[in-house]
Amino acid sequence: MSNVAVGSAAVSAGLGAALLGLVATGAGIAGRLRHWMRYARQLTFMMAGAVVVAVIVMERALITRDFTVKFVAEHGSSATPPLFNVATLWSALEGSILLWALVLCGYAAAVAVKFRGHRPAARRGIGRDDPENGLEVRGHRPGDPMVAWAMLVMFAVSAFFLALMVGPADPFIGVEVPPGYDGPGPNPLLQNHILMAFHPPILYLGYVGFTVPFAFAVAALATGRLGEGWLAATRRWTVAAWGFLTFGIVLGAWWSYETLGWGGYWAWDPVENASLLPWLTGTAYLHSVMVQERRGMLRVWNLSLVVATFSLTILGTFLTRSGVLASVHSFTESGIGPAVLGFFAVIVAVSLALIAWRGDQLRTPGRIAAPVSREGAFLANNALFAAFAFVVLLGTVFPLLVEAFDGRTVSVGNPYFDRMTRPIGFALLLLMAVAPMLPWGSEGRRPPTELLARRLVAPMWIAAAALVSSVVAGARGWAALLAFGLGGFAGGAALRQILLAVRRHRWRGLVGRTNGGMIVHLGVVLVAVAFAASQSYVRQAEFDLEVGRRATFAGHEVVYLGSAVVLHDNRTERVAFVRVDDAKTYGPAIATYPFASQTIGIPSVRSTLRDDVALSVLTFPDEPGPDRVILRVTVQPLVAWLWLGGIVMAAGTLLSLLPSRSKRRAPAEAAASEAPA
Amino acid sequence: MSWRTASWVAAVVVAAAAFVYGALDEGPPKTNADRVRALAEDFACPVCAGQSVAESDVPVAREIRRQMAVWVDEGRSDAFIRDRLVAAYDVDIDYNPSGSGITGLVWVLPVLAGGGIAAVVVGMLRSDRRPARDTPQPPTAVRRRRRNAAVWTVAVVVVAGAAGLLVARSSGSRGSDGSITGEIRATTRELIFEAQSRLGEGDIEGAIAAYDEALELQPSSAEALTYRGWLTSRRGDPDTAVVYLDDAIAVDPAYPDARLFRAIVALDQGDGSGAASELAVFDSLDPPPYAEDLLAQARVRERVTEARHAAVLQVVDGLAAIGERPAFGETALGVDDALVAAEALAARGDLLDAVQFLDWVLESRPDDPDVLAGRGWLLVRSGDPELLALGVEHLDAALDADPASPAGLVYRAFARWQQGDDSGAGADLAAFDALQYRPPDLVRLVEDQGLRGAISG
Amino acid sequence: MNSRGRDRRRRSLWIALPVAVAAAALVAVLATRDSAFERKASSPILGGLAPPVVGMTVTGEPFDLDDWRGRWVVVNFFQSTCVPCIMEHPELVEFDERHSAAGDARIVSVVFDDTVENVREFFAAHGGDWPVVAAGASRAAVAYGVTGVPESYLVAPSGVAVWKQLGGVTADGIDDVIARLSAAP
Repeated sequence: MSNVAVGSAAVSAGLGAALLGLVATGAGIAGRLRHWMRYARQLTFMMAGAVVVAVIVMERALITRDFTVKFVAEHGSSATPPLFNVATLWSALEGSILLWALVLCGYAAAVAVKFRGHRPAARRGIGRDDPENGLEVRGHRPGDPMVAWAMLVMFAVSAFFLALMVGPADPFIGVEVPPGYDGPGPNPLLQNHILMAFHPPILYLGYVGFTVPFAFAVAALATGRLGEGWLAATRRWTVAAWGFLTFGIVLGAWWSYETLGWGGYWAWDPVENASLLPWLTGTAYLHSVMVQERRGMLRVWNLSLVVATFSLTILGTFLTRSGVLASVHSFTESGIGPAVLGFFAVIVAVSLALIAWRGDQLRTPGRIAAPVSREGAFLANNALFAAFAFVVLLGTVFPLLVEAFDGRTVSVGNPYFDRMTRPIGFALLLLMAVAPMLPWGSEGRRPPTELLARRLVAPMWIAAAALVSSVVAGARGWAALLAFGLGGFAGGAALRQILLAVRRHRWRGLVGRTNGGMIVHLGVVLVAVAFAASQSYVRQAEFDLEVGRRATFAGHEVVYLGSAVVLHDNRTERVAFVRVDDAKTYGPAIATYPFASQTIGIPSVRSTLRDDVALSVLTFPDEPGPDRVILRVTVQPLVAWLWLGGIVMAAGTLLSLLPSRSKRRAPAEAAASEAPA
Repeated sequence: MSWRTASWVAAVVVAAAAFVYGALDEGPPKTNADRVRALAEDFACPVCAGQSVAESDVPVAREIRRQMAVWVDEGRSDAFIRDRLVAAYDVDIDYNPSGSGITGLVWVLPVLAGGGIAAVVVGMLRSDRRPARDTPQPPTAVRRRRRNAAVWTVAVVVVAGAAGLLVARSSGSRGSDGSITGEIRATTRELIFEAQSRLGEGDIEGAIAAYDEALELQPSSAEALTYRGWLTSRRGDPDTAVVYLDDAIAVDPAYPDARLFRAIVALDQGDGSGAASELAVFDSLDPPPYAEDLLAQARVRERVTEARHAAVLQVVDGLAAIGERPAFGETALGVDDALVAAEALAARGDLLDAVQFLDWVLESRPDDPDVLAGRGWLLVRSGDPELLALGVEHLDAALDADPASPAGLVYRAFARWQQGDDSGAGADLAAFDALQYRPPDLVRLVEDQGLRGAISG
Repeated sequence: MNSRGRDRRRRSLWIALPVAVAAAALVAVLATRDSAFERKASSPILGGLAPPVVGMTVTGEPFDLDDWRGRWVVVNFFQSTCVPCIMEHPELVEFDERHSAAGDARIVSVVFDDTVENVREFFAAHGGDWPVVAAGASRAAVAYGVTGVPESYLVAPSGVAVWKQLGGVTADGIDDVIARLSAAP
């Protein structure tokens, strides 16, 4: 059987399963056919299985170069190296929707397994004996309305994406190709770096993962069980999705730094912004959820954040895939734009209607007793993240708004985002230092200011040390120094908490939400410091070097040793051999791909913890005379800290997913962090 | 004071001292290349999807970067560069939205939203200190609260809106003195000016230092490279000077000063033909008067001519030394060389030798108008009336061979003027002026000798 | 439901409603946008004095567009390696031949992101002997707002930039434009 037939059948089967699941859960919820609910779980597995089959078929078609599949004919090539052959799946629209569906159905199946009757909420002690708030306590009932509603939402979202693949983004269209046909391969930029194999799937794991908390939020609204049950049930799902999204964004920045060759890693491109927006609201949610768990407050706000995060992932998909905003990440125009936009509208409308409908139950008597308290700090944190998200969203869609208003085209870019987000970043760093030290408002043991004075001495010294050492190292300018000082402050605070926890609980002081969270904070500080340093002190120059000539720049010396032409299966490279600082030789190159009109630069980076020397060849001016190269040299300090920070954040997320000691002992202590010193 | 207070004070003092020092000290200057990169990040590549000029590697982005570098090298402000780019590519090339009109909203709205969010947070914190809402409140209290809320809302909107307008005003434009890409402490231009004034004071080392500083900012400044090279050669290091000057010529092939100094250094190195070709380029560049003065001062033309004469004479004397002289057509000499050789012989005082030499040339090239004209010109210049008449015959022959021979016309104009035939001279000159191509050296000859004035006067 | 409940629901409506309106407006704007891939062919320089083209040609002679005031001038930006430029070139040669005798219209080519050596070879191989500006080409290209090659502008005898062509031109096409513009007052 042909790949096209099997693939189409699998997608249709998946869609069928999703629709059936929708009907089954719907009927179950309506109460008429409760036993139908039992099939819901099996239908999830069927749906996931069908999509797995579709992905396997597509990968097989890509690997065996089955050019009768249109997607393979248009994006595959016999010359593409094996790893990128697999990654070709997400190098174009249809395949990326398929990947999205795979991850989504995977999450749906996981939810079906996880909530098949365990009592996660009860086990954590939240909502115990409280059927109003918690998940079903007593039991093993697949028909628990909240899980049923969540499954309904999962089915609905899955059905939407599967329908896209049956309709406008069908990956399995058959074509006739002449014998001996070979495809062009994916976009050259997408097949010259290994990170391309990991960045999109991990980003999707993050994006799509937010469907789970969204599904439960809708379920909570629908069932009216608006307490903390759904929060607890989805806490780990949310943290995991957030971790994937974080790491995916960092990998994306890393990829662009390694492949684009201008020394940048973040350009406020619409699609980059689209990935940052859910990260911002998601991060806000991870913090504010603790206020609700602890004090029962901010219910509307938390629900709104979850809804906003999920809607923003869909909006991001629209921006990426519809072509309304020009972006390097955009795939060429496709027909899915209106469908995705409609879906976004439905999500927002339904969620808002639900929130408005449940408005009477959402307000809680909880109060913030003191402004200088942990909950006060979380509130400020959320205000800052909300402002951050607003700035990014406004900047991203503003050109469209202006165009709609008076037809002019304007651009909003780097200068706007830098200037508007910088103060927010500073405030967040300051808050990161102070907030972990603050007691919850109810813990009125000592005045919070006195606590702060005691707990922040060490971080203050670390901040001072960071400032002195950066000034000694030659850092100048208030903005970067402020970032270093605040970074030292926040990093010192996180370190203090980690050290205290480790001293008390040994290795267990590193696990659990609070401790893992502090490690994530350390990663954030690394990223912030790296961002400030590399943006403020980047140096760049272009050199025209003959063979044997050397150039000295920003404390580094490069020597051009000559060039060579290297033939690969899928490209021809002309490599310049450049020795950096009389040590290793690097090989930035210019590659020519048979189907691309333009040459692609392949930069080469000498990376150390101190600074990076990025080399990229602009041209080889092939004129008579000795071999020459026009070489761009970018020297940037601390870039490696960005990737290190990303890894630390991912590690911190993992650690925070492990159960902590204190939780087992006393659930109510779960969110408490500060131990009396 | 407890130890903790002391520790706090010490830490804050250390941190503040480091911060203030680092914030006030300017650090190393931004180079022009750094400014170009910062600028390039702030403009959209016109054909790319969402990439800045800095990121993109398409040809147009490269051209814009190249031109930005030129502008920055010229010491232009950010505002100037922005205006030029917008004039050519429209406003959407500017990533910095304007602070006025509807686009100003992009700056105002976030500040407004920030103010609103802050107000809500503060409100939450404050309201929670009041008695819980669950307790019934008298209607007057409710009304008062509503009025307070309205007043606060208006106040927040007004204050945040004003702040937003300020942000829009300060951010939505580029200062005329170029503030976005950082403080330009000294432009290349200022440094070059400083170097020039030091040079005027005779402080060569100071001038070299200033040029070096300028070159650090802008390694591709043709002017700094040229003068740095020139001063190097004055210090007696022509080999290094050549490197600087060749770099300058590579940067700007149309910079007359570089050509001039390169010619002088070539002369110093004994490379007459190199100097001659640089001089030819210099002449084609329409050089400014000060360059002409320098040229005259350094006697470059004369020295080039002398060098060329010396070189050609060597060949001619070599030929003369051969017993059996080959025909001109069999030698490697060209007509230009022959004319120069004749000039050289004449300059040595061997007028007869010069004429005979050209006769020898004419054996191979009987009707070459340039040679005929050259031979005539030798005779015309002798000052001897007989030879003058003979010379005019030769020039007539030259013009018979080619009525449009520029040399023939100019030389005969001179000859006729010497003979007192002003109208004939005027006719020749008019014919010359009507030519499509008039060799610069002939034009210069006419000007230098004041022929026009002499004829009309 | 008690009165406080109604009060709260009304409050939540007050919050939800503006959000809904904003979201609806956003969706409306997004739904009505054209694709960003549509390219605009207009140029802000048309109708004004043509920006200067001053520099040195590949043969080392100075060039200034202003010296050609009084003639129609085709300012052609090109690159020796771009295929449409190679395809367009015979048309330019044809145009040059048509007008070289009368001298009423001339061509100046401006090198775009290319080396002088390549350009010399290009003209040696494909013909044409009008000035090709190399030094100063970036300034001209950026002043005209060139986005890609080939791209041509027509400068009227008055010195005003009157017409722009993205992509290759044809001799007949330019002549048509000149005829049309000459006919118009």
